[in-house]
Amino acid sequence: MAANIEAFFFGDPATQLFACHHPPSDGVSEYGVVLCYPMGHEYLRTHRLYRFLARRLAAAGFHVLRFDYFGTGDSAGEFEEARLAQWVGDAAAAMAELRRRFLVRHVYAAGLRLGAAVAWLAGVEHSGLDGLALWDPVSSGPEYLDDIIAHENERRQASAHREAGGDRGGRGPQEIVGYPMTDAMYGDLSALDLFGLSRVPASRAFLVDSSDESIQEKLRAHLEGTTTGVRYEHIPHPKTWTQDPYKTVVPSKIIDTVARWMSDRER
Amino acid sequence: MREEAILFGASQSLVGVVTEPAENGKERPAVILLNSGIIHRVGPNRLYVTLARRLARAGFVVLRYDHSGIGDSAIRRDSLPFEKSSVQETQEAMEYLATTRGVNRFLLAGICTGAVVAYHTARADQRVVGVVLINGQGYIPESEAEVHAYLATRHRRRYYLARALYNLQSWRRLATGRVGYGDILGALGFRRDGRRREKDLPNPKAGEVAAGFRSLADCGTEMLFLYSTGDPGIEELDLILKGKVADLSARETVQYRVVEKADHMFTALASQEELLESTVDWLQDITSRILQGRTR
Repeated sequence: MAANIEAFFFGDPATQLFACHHPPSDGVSEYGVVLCYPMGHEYLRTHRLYRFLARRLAAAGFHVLRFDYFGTGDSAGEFEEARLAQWVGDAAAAMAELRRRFLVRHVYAAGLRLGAAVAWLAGVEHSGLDGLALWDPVSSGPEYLDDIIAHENERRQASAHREAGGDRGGRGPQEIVGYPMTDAMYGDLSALDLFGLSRVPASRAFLVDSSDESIQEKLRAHLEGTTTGVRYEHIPHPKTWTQDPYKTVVPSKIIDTVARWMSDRER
Repeated sequence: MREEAILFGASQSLVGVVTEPAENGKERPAVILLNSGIIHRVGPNRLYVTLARRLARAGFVVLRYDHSGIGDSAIRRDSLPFEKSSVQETQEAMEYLATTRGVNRFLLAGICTGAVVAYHTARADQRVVGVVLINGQGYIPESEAEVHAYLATRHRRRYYLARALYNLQSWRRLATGRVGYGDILGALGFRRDGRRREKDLPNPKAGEVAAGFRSLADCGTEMLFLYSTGDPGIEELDLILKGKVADLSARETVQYRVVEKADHMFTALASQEELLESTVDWLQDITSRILQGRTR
């Protein structure tokens, strides 16, 4: 039976972040993983998936830390106050917390969608990781914005109520599927470009692509051109982050593959 | 205002967050927010977090937590069905607040299934002095398909069907994959030509729930029924009360409100704001009356 998780806040009380710690199955480990969530409605829809991933990684012998960025989940702040750079700083703080609180020496990070981009950027801020797992990463902020704006437009069209669009002169709606989209966050996301980064801040990296069309091939080529120790897996699966939590099928094959890659520490 | 992460319950495996005012709020009833379906304790669109913080600023102690198996809480190791475990765990949440915060009266609030758990807990435990029942669906147990089919025959059929198409993914028993329009109609009780199948809704449970609501009102339990425009829960309540919703809402301790232009999970920000304002205002209002001894 898995040990109970520990729930706590960390950081400055005014900006405290909520975290759940899953202890390693054997109780003691020098290895730990920080899991970085995606944003907004995608966070809500993938929360369960993250819990499964955390349990699997804990069973593989890692301390696992799931945490909410400032202005999201149970953490302090309002979503309107959130900035991408702060979330990257939060992820780096979670990595430091993992070292400090649980005496972890080897830090890994993993994230899905925008969470993968945040994990990557936080790895730079944290001065390096032992491993980085990128699960269907958002590599281009503008493309990501197009995607979630299309989702919002689809929702409005299907709505039984005629909702006002609230568009800001071609810069997308002021709210996206239940969450505000501030000018500041729109600007932050517009500037996001993983291809502009010279290398992965980890000794090894794992790229998982669950799309039918292998849409991460371009990022794969970029990674392989700039970093050694890159592994790529194409495991098609429905987009969990667009599905209702009620019907989500947990992508257990991807979770197992990520856990096996992380556990294979000698490579 | 401050927030604390907690573990509580018989096996210390239920995860929650207590949000409380800077100064002691134990003279007021505490508010407990109940999971909306399997969405974890932050609530749809983080509504429970926003609600908890607004209420704490207004002087309430608030607990949001995950039932076992939902969000961060561990699954139960016994075979207690959700209908019973959810009530038991809500009572454990009350015990926790009684022990740690010295509060002995409680207000329960929940969206969708959270409303149903609030109702059942209020029926089981007299420490509950008020409930906010938001888009409650599933008061009548084990009859989801029949209720949906019946509701589709009602005068709001057209509207309901439009919502059904949009909400397709939210319906566990309908959403089995790539379901076509004809399948939806079938599941709602229609033939493929759009005509209704003959189907009555003989459900003795509806009468039990109606009696339950009336009993709560008789006991002075404050009740706010809050619905999004056109939510199927409106029709379920109408069915339970045999069209006499107005009779119940005429009681001094019962209020019935509809949030315009809102979907089931209050996706639009304007509808979120209206929901939050309505809920906070009502809780403050009834708490004033409770503290003045004008109600229990």
